[in-house]
Amino acid sequence: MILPTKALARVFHEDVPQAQQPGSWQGSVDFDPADNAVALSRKATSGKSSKGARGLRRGPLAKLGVRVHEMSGLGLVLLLAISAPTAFAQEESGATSEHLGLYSRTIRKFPRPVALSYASDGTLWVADHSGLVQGLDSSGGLVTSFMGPQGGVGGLALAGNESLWISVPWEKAVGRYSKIGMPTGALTSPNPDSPRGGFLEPRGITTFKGHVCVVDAGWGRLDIFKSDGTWQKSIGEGLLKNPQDVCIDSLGRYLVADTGNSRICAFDVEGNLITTFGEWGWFPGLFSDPTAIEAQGERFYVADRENQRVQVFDLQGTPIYRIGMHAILPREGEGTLHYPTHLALRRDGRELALIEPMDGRVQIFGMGLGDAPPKKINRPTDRQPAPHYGTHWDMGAGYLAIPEPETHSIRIYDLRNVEKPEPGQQAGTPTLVTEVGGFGTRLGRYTQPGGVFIGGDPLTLLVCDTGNGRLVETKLALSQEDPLGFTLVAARVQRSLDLAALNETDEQLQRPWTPRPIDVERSADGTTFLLCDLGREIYVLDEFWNLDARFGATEEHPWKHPVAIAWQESTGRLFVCDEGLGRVHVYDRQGHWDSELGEYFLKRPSAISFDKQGHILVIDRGVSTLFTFDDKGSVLRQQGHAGIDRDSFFGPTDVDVNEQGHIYVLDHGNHRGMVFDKKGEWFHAFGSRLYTKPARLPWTIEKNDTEESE
Amino acid sequence: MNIKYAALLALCLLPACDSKQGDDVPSAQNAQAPVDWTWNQSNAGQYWAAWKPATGPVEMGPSFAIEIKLSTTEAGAPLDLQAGQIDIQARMPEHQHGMLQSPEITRLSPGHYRVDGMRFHMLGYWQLQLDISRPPLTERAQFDIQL
Repeated sequence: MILPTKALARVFHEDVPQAQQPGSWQGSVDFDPADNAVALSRKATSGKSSKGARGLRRGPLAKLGVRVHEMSGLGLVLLLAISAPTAFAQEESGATSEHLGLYSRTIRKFPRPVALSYASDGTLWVADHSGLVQGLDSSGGLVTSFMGPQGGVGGLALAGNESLWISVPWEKAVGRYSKIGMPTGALTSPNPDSPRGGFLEPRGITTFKGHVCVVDAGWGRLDIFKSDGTWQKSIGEGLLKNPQDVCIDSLGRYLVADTGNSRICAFDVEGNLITTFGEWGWFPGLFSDPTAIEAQGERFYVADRENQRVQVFDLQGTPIYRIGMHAILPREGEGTLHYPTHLALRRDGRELALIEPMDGRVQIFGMGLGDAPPKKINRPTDRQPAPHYGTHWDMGAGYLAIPEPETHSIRIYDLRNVEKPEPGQQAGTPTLVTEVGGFGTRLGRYTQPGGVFIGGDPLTLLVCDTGNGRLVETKLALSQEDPLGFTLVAARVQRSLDLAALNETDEQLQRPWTPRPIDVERSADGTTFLLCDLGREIYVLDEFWNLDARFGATEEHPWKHPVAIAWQESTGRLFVCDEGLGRVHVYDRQGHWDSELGEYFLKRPSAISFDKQGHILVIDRGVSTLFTFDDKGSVLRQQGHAGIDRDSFFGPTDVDVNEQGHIYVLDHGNHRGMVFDKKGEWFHAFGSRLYTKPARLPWTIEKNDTEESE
Repeated sequence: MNIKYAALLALCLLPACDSKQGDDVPSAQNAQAPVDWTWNQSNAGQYWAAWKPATGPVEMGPSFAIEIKLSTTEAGAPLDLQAGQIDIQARMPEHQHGMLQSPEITRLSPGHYRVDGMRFHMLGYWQLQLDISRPPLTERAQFDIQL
């Protein structure tokens, strides 16, 4: 077999990477005729192999140092012909042409990146949740950085090479910043003469031919402005539900990630809906939480967050291939994904950057051979996918209720094995005894379960179905006297409260927006407290769910981003966690302001609970720390830092104290629950084995990889 | 002649074979569905609901119709709602699925409705679920059916 000279030179020349542009992907193909496989591996342009190359096959050609760098399609075909058995595998993998989507490198310079965009000069701009904005060169080196908004960034887009548009849902505003962080303008209020005027929750932004487009998740629409910030029109009202991002494709269509409806909507320039792509599901072409979209040439790319992938489509909406697989190991990356939330394409369409806020990183994908990701993932086969917990949970009457994000159900665990192990036995894991709901819009099903409450007699489950905009009450026929076992007939749905209908019918409300329920509490007398985020309000409902009262932010005591509430029965006070202001607001039952907590200690308080001594426990996801305050608001104890060992959390989101006084922390980023005794000493972890092992066996602790950087 | 006897014998045995098969197939007698109105209070206690088969006993396989009644108290004043305010479904909670077709509701008189297009495609425990919407609240009444 005779190979073309050019191909031969590439095959036998190991130093080709130096000729590559920094950051571009270099495909290498190692052959192993023994198992008829072709393993595609990756190599970063820095010259050192990425960890993703661990799966290199050691076939005869590989032993000779044969690698194919930038091989032309013809060269590849000829080389494949050397080893006939490998041809089938190559054909099976669909590798026929260069495509975007093979892993290149990871950048870890951010606590919680939330938005990014490429400038036309190739600079990658990344905004952190805190408001820190960084410009990075193609190797990930810092070009410049500045503190932009005061936290709560929602979207980012470049305005030429000189300035950036940044949306801030907490501030209900979109501002323009120079590259050194000077505010240079803002978008004007959209729809100024309408009762639905102004921004409510601006998210994704894109710029296009002298225009700026912003999706507003709160209003459910797309606002279009001239580049000087003047509002032109709004489109998509009544069609979009919680949209998170927008792009413009080569046909001039607005493509909107209609996240709440699990689909992509295509609008023409006049704002007419042309078509939609997808619905909720797992199969190719379906979505579960599509949160970002970008288009380039003949393709568009969607970050399909809960399906842990990026889907690539042609302009007709036909799925072509996927990028990434679900990460299983703690902080696993290098092509495997963990809740990818936002993405950006370099202007030449040859590089894609992907944000995973939960892991505090940006993964870069480049061009490579093949139409599909490598089928062989270098992962031990004995490791199973981790069970995922949502961001909220609640404990009561010996049970733990946890929303499960992928199935959109609520899982109910019995805690007897943890709290009352058999004599001589160590604490076991919570036992799954039933599950409630599943994805859907009918009563009893949820599209986006948020805050939950479990407790009372009879045992009652309250769920904030944020996606369907309602509160749902379910009775559970479970008893601590029954033998442990699993049943699917324990749940009996009672009723639901539709917040949109309540808003229309109740004279107290009449908000132009639809209140969105995010957390719920119930007092011993049956009063229900419901936290709604768009209006930053709490609704107080009587036992028949009539609206008894409502209260919220005032000019004197403003709220920025309330995320959770907790009712303290012993003092009759309601605590409101405000992640935006980094403090806890305290009210009496009637909604009169009482006090504040943690102003100088807390960064992103995400949940509160109380122990029997009246101490106030606050979990802070921003610093991965559990704070204990006395009833005067003084800090008694701080425990935890970012990590995976038994002294650590990774973005914890909830805390609860049970009847035995044990403290349960929902260690969300580590997919586990951590249990501490009354003194705060760790004694148990449950959840994914891969994440609980470092807590159970502290001597196996590895270096905290949150501090790693490449 | 032998052939005639064999044919006659086969004809005599045929009904017996059918009868044997019939024992394995659920019949009207096997279905423990009610034949008269069955009343239940809604799960949160704000209304009463009743149902009965409209086209004979409920059995696995064929589509059937039911009638439902809604009232403020048991067999009391009718709760007059539009058909669009009622959502009906039947589910097998142990199998985590519902019916394979969507029923249609027709209002017959105040508080009295007919539901066409019901079908139980499996034997076992079914829940008949009636979701009554009186905005902003929706409340469920449910009935157990063992096929």
